[in-house]
Amino acid sequence: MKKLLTVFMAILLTAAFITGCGSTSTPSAPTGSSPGTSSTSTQSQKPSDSAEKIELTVWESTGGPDEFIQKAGEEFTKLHPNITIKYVNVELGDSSGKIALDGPAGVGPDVFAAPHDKIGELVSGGHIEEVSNPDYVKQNALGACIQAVTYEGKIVGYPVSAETYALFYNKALISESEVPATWEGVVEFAKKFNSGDRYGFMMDVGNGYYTILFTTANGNRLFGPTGTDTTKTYLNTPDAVNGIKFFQSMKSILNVPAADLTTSICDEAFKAGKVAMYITGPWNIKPFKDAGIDFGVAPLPSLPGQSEPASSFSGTRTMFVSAYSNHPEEAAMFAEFLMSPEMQKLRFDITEALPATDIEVDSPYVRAFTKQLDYAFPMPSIPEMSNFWNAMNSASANIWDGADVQSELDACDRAILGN
Amino acid sequence: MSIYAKKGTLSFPFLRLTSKSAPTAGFLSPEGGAAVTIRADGSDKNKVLITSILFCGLSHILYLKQYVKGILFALIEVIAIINIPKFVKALHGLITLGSPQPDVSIKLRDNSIFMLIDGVMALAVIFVFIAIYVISVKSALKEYKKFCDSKVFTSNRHTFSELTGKSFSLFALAPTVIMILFFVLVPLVFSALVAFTNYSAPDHIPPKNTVDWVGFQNFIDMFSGKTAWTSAFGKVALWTLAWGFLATFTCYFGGMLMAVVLHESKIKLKPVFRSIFILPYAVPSVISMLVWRNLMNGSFGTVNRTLIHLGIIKDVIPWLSDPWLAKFTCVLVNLWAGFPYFMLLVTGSMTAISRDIYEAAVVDGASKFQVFKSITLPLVIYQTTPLIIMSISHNINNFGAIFFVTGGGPTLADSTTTGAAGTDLLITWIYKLTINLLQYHYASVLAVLIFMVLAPFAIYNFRRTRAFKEGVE
Amino acid sequence: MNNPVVRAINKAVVYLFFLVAVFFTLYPLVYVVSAAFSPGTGIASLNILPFADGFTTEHFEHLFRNTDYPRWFRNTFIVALSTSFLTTLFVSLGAYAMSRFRFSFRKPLLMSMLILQIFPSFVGMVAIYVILLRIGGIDQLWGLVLIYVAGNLPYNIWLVKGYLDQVSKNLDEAAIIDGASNLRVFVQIILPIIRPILVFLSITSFVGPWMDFIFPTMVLRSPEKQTLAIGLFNFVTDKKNEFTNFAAGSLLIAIPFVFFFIITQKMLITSLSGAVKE
Repeated sequence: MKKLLTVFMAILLTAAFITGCGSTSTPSAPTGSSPGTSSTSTQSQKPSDSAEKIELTVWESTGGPDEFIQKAGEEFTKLHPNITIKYVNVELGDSSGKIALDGPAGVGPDVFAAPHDKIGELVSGGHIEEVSNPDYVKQNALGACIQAVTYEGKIVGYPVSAETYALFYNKALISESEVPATWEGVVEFAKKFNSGDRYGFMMDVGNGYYTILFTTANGNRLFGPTGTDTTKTYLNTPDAVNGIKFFQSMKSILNVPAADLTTSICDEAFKAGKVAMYITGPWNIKPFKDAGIDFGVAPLPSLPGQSEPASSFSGTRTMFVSAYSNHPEEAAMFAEFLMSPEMQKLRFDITEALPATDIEVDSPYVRAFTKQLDYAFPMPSIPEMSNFWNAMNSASANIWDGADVQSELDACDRAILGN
Repeated sequence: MSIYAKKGTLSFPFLRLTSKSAPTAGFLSPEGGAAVTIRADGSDKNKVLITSILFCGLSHILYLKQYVKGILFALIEVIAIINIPKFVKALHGLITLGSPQPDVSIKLRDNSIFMLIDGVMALAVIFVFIAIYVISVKSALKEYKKFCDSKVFTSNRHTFSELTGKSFSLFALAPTVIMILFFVLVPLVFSALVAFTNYSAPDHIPPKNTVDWVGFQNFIDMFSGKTAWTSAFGKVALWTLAWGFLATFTCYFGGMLMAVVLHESKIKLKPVFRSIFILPYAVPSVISMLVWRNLMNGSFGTVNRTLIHLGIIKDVIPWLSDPWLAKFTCVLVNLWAGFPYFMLLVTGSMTAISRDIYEAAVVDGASKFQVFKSITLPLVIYQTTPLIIMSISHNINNFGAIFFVTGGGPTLADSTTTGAAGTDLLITWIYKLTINLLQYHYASVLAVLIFMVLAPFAIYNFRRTRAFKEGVE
Repeated sequence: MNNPVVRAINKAVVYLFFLVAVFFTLYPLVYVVSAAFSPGTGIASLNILPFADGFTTEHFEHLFRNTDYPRWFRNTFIVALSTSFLTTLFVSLGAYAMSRFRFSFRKPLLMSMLILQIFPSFVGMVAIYVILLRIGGIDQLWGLVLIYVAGNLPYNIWLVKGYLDQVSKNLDEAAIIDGASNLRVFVQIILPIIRPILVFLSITSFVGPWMDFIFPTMVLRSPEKQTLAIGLFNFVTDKKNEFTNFAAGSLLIAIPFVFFFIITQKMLITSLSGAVKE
């Protein structure tokens, strides 16, 4: 029996040895990245120490922001030699979805870019927290941007660029002085201009991002004046309905079914020089220039009965410090750095995106966008916002194709509020 | 022949099982040091049974002198025992799904979904362990029976030859079973379980919030209270089934047509034609779908523009904007992409038919058409039935064929309320729900329902074909 | 049916049929090629006549100079090759076990492998993510390979098993009587016999990962690990509409595939004939 016991002890020891080595393969609570995986976030249990090497992971899109982040990272390292910035490509629209998994998994970023309307979603998931130094944001950012990054009274992100859409016009087809200041004027012009495959006006009609502008007469805003009314979408108020009815009537000058007017089709039509006026945003400046179109940008026309340009959605590109970051202080430092005047200028130079702070930038198009920004309102960021897109896209398409405006908007309202 | 006379040693760090000529290591001696003797007449079966159930590998060590096997089995049990706290924690987490911890930093809070997954994984690991346990018991009994029959113990050296011999099937299948268990079954079980939770935005996204078990509430919500959902579900499900059959049969018969014509006709350059017809299969489908999407655009697409230019039509055909035409367009594009595969399949199947049957038919005076109808067609269909069934179930879940061509299709009157549009399959509808609206629980309910409908259908059909096959085997 | 006129008409009809079929087949592909070589960015603005807008190789240059295309290609190639090899290995082993041995859970195992595939699972991807996380496979190419191989197993084991069932067992049995181990039988007898279906299998499992987008986005993070699908799809997101670049990138993938398929079509046909033989 003694010998049996000895055998058993030996087995036990071997087992313990094996288990010790193989612990990564048995279920365990999240402890962060296991040894051997790539260093997308560095592990550090000590409080931040200026002599310690830190690598911050930053998520941003390609097509301009990537170059910017890399350059900004180099500049930042000059100021803080122990901190390096690693750029990882996660597109602006994907980051809020990815952080929900990557964050708790321990492989998430320290800083990530997301549009401000995702704030509600990010806060309710717990992926971001109030910024450590809200005064910095309040002192440096533009008013509209500050509002955009405020949620339930607290500032939760660092705005780095503001954008809205406006009226692009092809100078070869319509001169600057002819550009109408009212939507009725647009219809007038198009009636005379339309011929064959040339359109006086085009827009992405199945996209709530743009069609919302028709609901904004008389100060009517999505989710109320502050964008926080979770009981009412304000999409089926009389002001909104009237505006959308006008939108529906515009089919007479753009007689194409909604399913055929996709964003890419519209972009292409403008690039091919077939469209005189088109509603789109700054991301198309470079592609249109490359396509050789001589174009100008004007603020949006005003709705019937209104004297000011129609109100568009403004989106503030925001850098967020991840709640899962192991280096929240350094991450906040970098995010603030991106808001500094030099970095804002650098960003503008590379991406032509409008700054979120009050610095002087100039380009033929900036002035029009800045003017439109005065009339734009930030996309609401409450959690109900994520229901808005599908519902409004579908309602816009149906209305464009002839559905009854009131009942479609009522259905939209119900769908968004989850009734 | 005594095993003890075999030469050669198996060396282990602390164990040496050798022939008589080499000294023993001292822990165990083959001549019954630790091993307890058992009788070879079958009466000790219970002893073997009980000891092997008691502790994995115990009877191998004690009675059967299978030290290698016994130690390996025992090792596994010990590892499992050491990890019991982990298992308990995981299973506990599975049941409770964590509790809200508003005071704890977000990084350290219970993450309900991770706990759910860890729980299911723990179940899978436990299942594997039980399977190994059962194998060890069976192995012990088998060894005992062999011992009773042959009166000698199998040497430990034989254990290794068994690896390539009798237990080969086990080791051949082990990686497959493990991979399927963890990468197919666990996600499936997880997904099904989510249907019974409230994992959704905005109030139940971890780690800030917990997810809770809600039983059948989601099913009730989706199908009784909200009439819009129910009608949408009915419509989408109907189209999904119709699409499954349409897509498969158009491709199948289209492919068959091409195969037959290529086979029977007397034109030259057959390989050239066949090569051309393989192209849609060879080109990555995503890009083809996107191109088709642009080609078929009613107002700006090349197809309509060409037709108008040639004067064939006056007004544009709403390929993608009319719900019914959009469905037709999807079937057409899918036909384009799918017929090559079936063309190859049918050609292969036809070449496998023995020439004798054809000769006999011709001798009997059958016409070509009769030959095709009565011989080729039935045989080919019979041979390829299982693949047809697989294709139907593949098409029912064929996300790409719809999504990249129409994005789900033109909006319908109730699309605003339900999220489902003109050409949406159940799977694209689920995709929109999960990615855009973050309603994971509803998406899972739909997935469970699809599975419950499809699975019996598939099982029934497979049983029929396999039973046939088994009979012929 | 022996009337020469009727025969001539028949032939004409067949030729016409082929003409239409070829046109239908090549139609979109011509546009893909033309898009890859035309200036501009989008497909909607292209002329209805392909290549009518001019010819340029700027997209290809852009791919190789300004993007990480070579690296994407290399990563995807590694993933595809590993997937193909491992799939073939495990499937052949599994199919052999299923076909030649009888053990208690054989039938249920076979059935469940097929049924499990039917479950449509986007939500399940979260589970796959967590499993990979636990074994350290996130942001690793091998994590991706693991997912693909696991996904390939059920259907293909069934397919190869069916093929193997048709092969007579006499050879195996003779070998075993001669004292060969099962492993030896597998390597030296079975594998050579099922070579055609294994070739088919390795081809189809090689092709799969190239344009898959969903799993790489879930698993991979670092720029060094990106695959072709991720890189190319970035060209056609909502805000960027560089379809011509996308077409150029896809063409570079499609061409080798097309050549390969054309060259091996005879072998594919014979292997498929074996697979369905009753």
